[in-house]
Amino acid sequence: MKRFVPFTTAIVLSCVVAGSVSAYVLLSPRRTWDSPPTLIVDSRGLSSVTDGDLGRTRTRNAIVSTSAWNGAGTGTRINASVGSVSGWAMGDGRPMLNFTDPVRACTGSCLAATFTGYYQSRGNGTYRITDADIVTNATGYNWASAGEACSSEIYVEGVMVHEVGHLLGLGHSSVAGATMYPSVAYCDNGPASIATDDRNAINDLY
Amino acid sequence: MKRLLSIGLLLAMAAVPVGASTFLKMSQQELIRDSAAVVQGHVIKVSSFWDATGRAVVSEALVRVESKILGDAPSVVVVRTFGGTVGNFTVEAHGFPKFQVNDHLLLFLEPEQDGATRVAGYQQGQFRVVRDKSGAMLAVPTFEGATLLTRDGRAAAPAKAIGLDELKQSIRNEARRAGRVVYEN
Repeated sequence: MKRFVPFTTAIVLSCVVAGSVSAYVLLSPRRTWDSPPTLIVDSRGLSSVTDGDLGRTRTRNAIVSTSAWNGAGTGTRINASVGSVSGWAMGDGRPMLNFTDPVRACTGSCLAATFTGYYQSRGNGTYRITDADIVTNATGYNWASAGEACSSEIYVEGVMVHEVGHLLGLGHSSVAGATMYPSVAYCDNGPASIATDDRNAINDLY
Repeated sequence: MKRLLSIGLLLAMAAVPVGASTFLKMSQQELIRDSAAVVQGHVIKVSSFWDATGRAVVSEALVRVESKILGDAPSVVVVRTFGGTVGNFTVEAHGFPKFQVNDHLLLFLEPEQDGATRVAGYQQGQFRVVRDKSGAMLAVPTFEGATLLTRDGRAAAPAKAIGLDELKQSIRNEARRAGRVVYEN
């Protein structure tokens, strides 16, 4: 039970779509990027992260780490840089991770939301992803980054590596311990490192 | 057509794992608190477009209200959600409510700033109304790509289909306790 902290403060992200098949799932319709996208990570960071950098560099580093998607064995899958997301928009071909929510899509009970855009079929049954964007409910919840003391915070790296999995075209896995497993405990940054199932998923897709 | 779908098929459809956004699990009490109205009706039109900021694709569903359970609502409500298709460009808003013409729904409606409404609690405030093989009307929760987080450290149990009348009465009872106006139709 690597993912769950056995304390009363542990909170579990639980997906209601627990599957019976013990393997990864690709988003349907199947969709991929033509070349590794470069995700712009919001340079404003998250105010609740106290690593001295508001979590922006650690988030970027986690996304491109060889412990994550770029270490799956088939080369670089995602690039990322810290930068301005002032031009955040769906469909502009510039994937962005926004630490706020400029369109008020993710409020109240929403913690983070992912939007995936794709054009029509390439003609072979697959779709080309042209943009994907993530927004965050920064003020409604407490966020932390790896190494920080944590009691009831959500580690931003783990969540965002998971979200980037969706951005790349992955669905949820029913394999406990996988990054794309739809559950993660508070104060558990395990999803920042991909598992064999995640590796199989990304290598199937690309 | 929708009404003829078996519940089993609907539940199977709901169990397809797709991409996710992450939401906090909301109780019925919380859904009522956030809702200006709860209505039952049919979707008569859906349109998708870029919002005024040009940043997001949104969809608006016109829902003909056939029954008001809680609060006031016009005969046709405009319900907005994120995602949709404009031309040949599709934005998939994982875990957000989706609408199709002829959908028969029960909706918890939260007012937007510009007079439109959104579904309270995202997919948690959207139920599909279907008839089972015995003819009974059921309210089936909508979950397509939502990841739910409980407040108290436990995994959120999947919501289950329940009788439509049972759900409506439960909403009325909860709303009365909150001092809200309910309808007994």
